[in-house]
Amino acid sequence: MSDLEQQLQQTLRQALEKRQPLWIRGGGSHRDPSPAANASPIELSGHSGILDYHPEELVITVRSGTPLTEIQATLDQHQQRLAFDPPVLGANATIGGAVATGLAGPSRPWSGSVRDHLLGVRLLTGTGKILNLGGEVVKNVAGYDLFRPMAGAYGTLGILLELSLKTLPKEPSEITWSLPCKQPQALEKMALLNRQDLPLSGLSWADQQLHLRLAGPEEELELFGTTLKSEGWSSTLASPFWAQLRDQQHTLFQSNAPIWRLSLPVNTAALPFEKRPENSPLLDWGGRQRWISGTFPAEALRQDTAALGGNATLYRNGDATISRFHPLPAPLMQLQQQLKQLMDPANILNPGLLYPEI
Amino acid sequence: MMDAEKRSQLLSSLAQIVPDAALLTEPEELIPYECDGLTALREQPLAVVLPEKEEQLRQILQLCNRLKVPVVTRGAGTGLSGGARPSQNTLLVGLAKFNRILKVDPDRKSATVEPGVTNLAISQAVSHLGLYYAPDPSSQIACTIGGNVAENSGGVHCIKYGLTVHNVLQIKMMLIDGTTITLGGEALDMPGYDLLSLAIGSEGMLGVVTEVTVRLLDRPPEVRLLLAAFDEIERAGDAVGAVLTAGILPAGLEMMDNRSIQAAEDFVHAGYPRNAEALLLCELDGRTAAGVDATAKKVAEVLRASGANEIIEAESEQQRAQLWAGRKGAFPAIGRISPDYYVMDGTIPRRHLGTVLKRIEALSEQHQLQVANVFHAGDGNLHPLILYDASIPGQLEQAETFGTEILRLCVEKGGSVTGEHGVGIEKLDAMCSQFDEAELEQFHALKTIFDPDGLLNPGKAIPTLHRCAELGAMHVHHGELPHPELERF
Repeated sequence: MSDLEQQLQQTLRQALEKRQPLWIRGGGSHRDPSPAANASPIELSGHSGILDYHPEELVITVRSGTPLTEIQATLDQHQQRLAFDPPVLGANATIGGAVATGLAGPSRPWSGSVRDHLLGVRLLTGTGKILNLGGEVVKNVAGYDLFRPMAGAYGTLGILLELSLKTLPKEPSEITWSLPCKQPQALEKMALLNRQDLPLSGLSWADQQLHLRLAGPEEELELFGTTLKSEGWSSTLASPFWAQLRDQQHTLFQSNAPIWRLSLPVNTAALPFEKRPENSPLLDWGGRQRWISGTFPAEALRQDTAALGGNATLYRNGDATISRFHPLPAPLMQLQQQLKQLMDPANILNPGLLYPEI
Repeated sequence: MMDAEKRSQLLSSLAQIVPDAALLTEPEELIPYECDGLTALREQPLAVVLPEKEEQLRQILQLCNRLKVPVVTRGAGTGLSGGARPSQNTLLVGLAKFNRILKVDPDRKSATVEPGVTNLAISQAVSHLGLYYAPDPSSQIACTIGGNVAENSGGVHCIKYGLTVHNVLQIKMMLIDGTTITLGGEALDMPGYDLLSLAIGSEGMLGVVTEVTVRLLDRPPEVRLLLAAFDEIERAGDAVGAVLTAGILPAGLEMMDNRSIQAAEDFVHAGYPRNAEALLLCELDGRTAAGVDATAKKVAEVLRASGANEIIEAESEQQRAQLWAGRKGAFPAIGRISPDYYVMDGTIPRRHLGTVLKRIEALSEQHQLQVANVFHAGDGNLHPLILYDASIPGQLEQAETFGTEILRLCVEKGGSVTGEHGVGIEKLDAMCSQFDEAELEQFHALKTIFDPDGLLNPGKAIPTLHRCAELGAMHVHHGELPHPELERF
């Protein structure tokens, strides 16, 4: 457990003086590209430790370099969890990286996103100032919620030093049901299940299998289990499937081809790109998050997803000439640029990692 | 005061935009708009305009932008922190006429509505589908969704179902130059910085919300309510933590102290044990009777082990409504025993509930003003009601000082000066204790991104650095006050 705050602030101030771009690094598990050719790494993984955790508060405050595994082990002891269930992409993966990338696990549609569970941050801005934004209590409407956009900002608005996160009790019981199923039927089944009121905590399709996770009081799971069984589903108590899915261990992620992440409204039908058999996607979040791998015409793919109310991220292995994140309408991009300008006027924090303009 | 020429230019231009009946300028017409739910602070606006079309609103904002006239937006005026209070230089824009439900999508479980639709009207419009909109501020019968977005409103059930920010998928917001931007969307995440979460709770300082898409939830078919009575308030406070650490997430977890119990019992005869020092109301919900019953049994055990000397489980829907009626009617009930009361809204880490309530009691004696506590215990969101009599000179000021001390105590314990009512004009001074100069500066700079000339709801939510310096207010962080050895509260 160590506090590198002063050192980090000093490093940043020196970089600021020289206009030296910084590449903010936690556990390095996300394998994001270097933000700029001349960026020098600023390491956060040493800035580690759980600062405050009282189980009865359902809140944990940690330094950003704390490994996710350490946080999970601590919460496990008290039968609690981070409800956004962040992907653990490597043994060194840190909570700072999880928050900065804003990715959430398979239960996201039912238990919320990273920013939903973020209560406050201690932030080192691009001007070297340290700000405490938000707080350590679940209800707090004082000041603008400038801390929430830090989830998914990829460090471009400031270096996360400390984070306060909401925790939740673990569900009393959990069960996984599976059903062999082809892709076109998978989305139809998902739509039917999404319309019902089920204690869902996962609904995904991979390798010609539909997987459904129920979590809640045993009595609820039993009731819905009876129906599923009669429809031909089979159950497992502890399925390794969910952790593998969450941690991106599916073969799709081993591909050297471009990997796209599509984020779509609930009950969106299959896109033309998904229908080509060689591009069998991985469907997660009850069909709201879809991973596809292959070489697609970026513009057409993005037009298709946007027309359906969604967006497409070129998650990995992309052509450097293609924007990783879905382009924004001009007025929105202008606001984003101004926000970046406010937090990091010299543009030294992960420049270009999110968009070339910011 | 605005010069006469500019005023007449503004009014004549407004008359071109909206019909006569939608432009109020006579002092007697302006009276209903001189305050919101914080009635102690009043001021008349220079005029009130009530547009009903988006194009009218756009022209009004563009006009104000051109003439540099400040704008205060108002929904139903139920806010409790003076966020919608106008001043004599401001144009008040009332959005109550934007009251249409535009779309209900049962397949996607979402509804798109105009900002003037009331919170409860959304749930009513979708109840036949078995759906509802979860955040339920006590004023839900009157407060508008636009106001809820501005304040990031909570309610009795937000311990389990979250605040407004957790239940809004998308908003359309008009900027002061008339541009409309769409923030969020129907997908679960949108590219770029999450400006939606920044706009929610921004107290009308960044833009004017013109459309809101909310997520709807399936109404839980099974609900149980437990009442637990305690003879010590600290035990009730500790019981809250015990329930949560037992792995139970109640749908609501509320607390009332003896003064509130007495007042509520006199008012609605809810069936509360009158001699209890504190009571907890714990609501549980779920999809199956057997599941909720099992949880209720477990909660009862935890409450008993935490020192509850009486536990009542509502046996019928009627009894459940009656027990809730006492809690929901607690504020008017206090209104019957005191000429005036002042509602506070601080939040603290739950483990300090007992200590903080004791400190408030001590402050009450010191200020010679009674206090009643009715609050969202599960969230650590306190609502001390300070009882005073405005007709006695000095009592309002005394109540305000007492209130500010309570809020500073909340910050000292690691909490916040406002859990759900917002800062408005009421808590500007208290904000100086929660945020330091650099943070406040950043907030002011953030506003200029959206509103470069500071025309939207100016002077609200974020105190000027000058104000904090004048106050000599002590910034408190992580409970560390300068000179902690000195007794202050």
